[in-house]
Amino acid sequence: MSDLGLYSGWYAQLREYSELVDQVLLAGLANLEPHTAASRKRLAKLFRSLVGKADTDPTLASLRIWMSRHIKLSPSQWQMLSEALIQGSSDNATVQQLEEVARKLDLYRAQVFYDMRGR
Amino acid sequence: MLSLYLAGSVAQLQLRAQRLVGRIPRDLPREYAALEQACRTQINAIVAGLGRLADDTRDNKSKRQSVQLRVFRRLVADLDILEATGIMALTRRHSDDHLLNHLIEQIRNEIRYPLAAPVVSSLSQQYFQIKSDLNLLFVPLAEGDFLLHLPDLYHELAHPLLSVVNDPALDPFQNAFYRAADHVMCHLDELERRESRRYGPKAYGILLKQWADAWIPFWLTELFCDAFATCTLGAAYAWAHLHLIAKRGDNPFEIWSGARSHPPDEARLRVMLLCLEKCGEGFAAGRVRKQWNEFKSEIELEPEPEYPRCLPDALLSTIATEAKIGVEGLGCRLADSQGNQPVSQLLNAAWEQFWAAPESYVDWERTEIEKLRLQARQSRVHP
Repeated sequence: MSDLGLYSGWYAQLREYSELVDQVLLAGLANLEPHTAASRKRLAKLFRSLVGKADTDPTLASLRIWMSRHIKLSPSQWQMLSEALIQGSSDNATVQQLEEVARKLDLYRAQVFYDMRGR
Repeated sequence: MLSLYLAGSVAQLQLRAQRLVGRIPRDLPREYAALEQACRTQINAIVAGLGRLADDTRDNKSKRQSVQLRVFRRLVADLDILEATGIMALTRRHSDDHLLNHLIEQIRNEIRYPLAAPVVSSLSQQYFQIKSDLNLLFVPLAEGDFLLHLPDLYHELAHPLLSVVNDPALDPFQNAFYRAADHVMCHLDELERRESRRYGPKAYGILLKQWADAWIPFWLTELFCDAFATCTLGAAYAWAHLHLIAKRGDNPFEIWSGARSHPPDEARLRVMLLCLEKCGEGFAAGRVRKQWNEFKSEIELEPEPEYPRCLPDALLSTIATEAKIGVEGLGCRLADSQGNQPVSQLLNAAWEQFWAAPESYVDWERTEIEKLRLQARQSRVHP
């Protein structure tokens, strides 16, 4: 019957991926330095898993469901975003889409935070 | 404007973080050492994050102020949570907590719980709840004086089993959860497919979306924790849940409230009864079911037509089966009325006593709590 226990695992995951998207945005999409490579790869893998069943991490099931339902990008847009992260493409559309993902994810993180903690 | 705001606010938050460290008492008993260390580690990470943010804001290297604001908000939330949980538990600890800490350590040994026992603090403002990353369990202030709700300790112990990462010992339980999640997703996909082929009321489509948001992160997690508690403790957990439903007066079939985090109480009880039956406790399950049916007829509430579509028997049975496989895979000891498990026996005996002699139960319970307190005091003298 635990609100804190119930929310905290989900909250931790939302927080982790919100941070990951912002790390990539802060570093700049054209920045392919090794210290940002791991973040980009993890994010690219998550976006790819929203398109097909292959290479899906079961621990991210809730996040995949939430993202595919609440962030309105088409399968081809998720795929392109994933490729852009790997290749370091930093065109305006990619940055805007990533900013949209970051904004939606962090907004929901804040909502879960207040559900967990109370206002 | 934003960079000025952040410059001032970041500095203040850094000071707040340091003040919280300063409030940690210096004379904490040994059982609080892990909690203290976890709090210090988390505060240091927050302070480091604030330092990076301050540099970024000061240098104005980044034109992405929206990102800076999100980073700041996350750090504020991190510190808020820590202040209200770990730091509060350290600064407001009470000698009464020792009984519950003693009890949780005993439970851990009895059921062969694969993680360290959490620190228990009786400062909860919201029933039982656990903060898994700090391994800190909150219970209501007076809960240590009574037995009938203590079965909920077993439920809380299950949350870290699902949220702790990189521990292979937890794989069986977590993999069982993911298999169950696959079943839930198939079920929801099927409901959506059927919905897309018919011209039903729009409200049902909205309801389906709410179920999809709630089922895996919230409902399935709760049902797995219920199953863990039932499999390791037995009927006392189901009785405690029935007690809670009776006391609170909520609709046990509620599926409309989108903000609701917990699955409907009726579904939770159904999973508990299924687990009891799967653990060979069919007789005990029958007794709980009989009381539950009588209670349902008293409250005169019926499930809505959508209810069985959302929570069908077959899906709940699959969840109970997977959860039991997961509990066995952890190497946990299943509830055994014949075994030497004093806490489990006491909590089950409490419910037997409650139903056998409700009027004298309070006296019986008082005596048993006194015995527990004596044991806890002796354990402190002779650990």
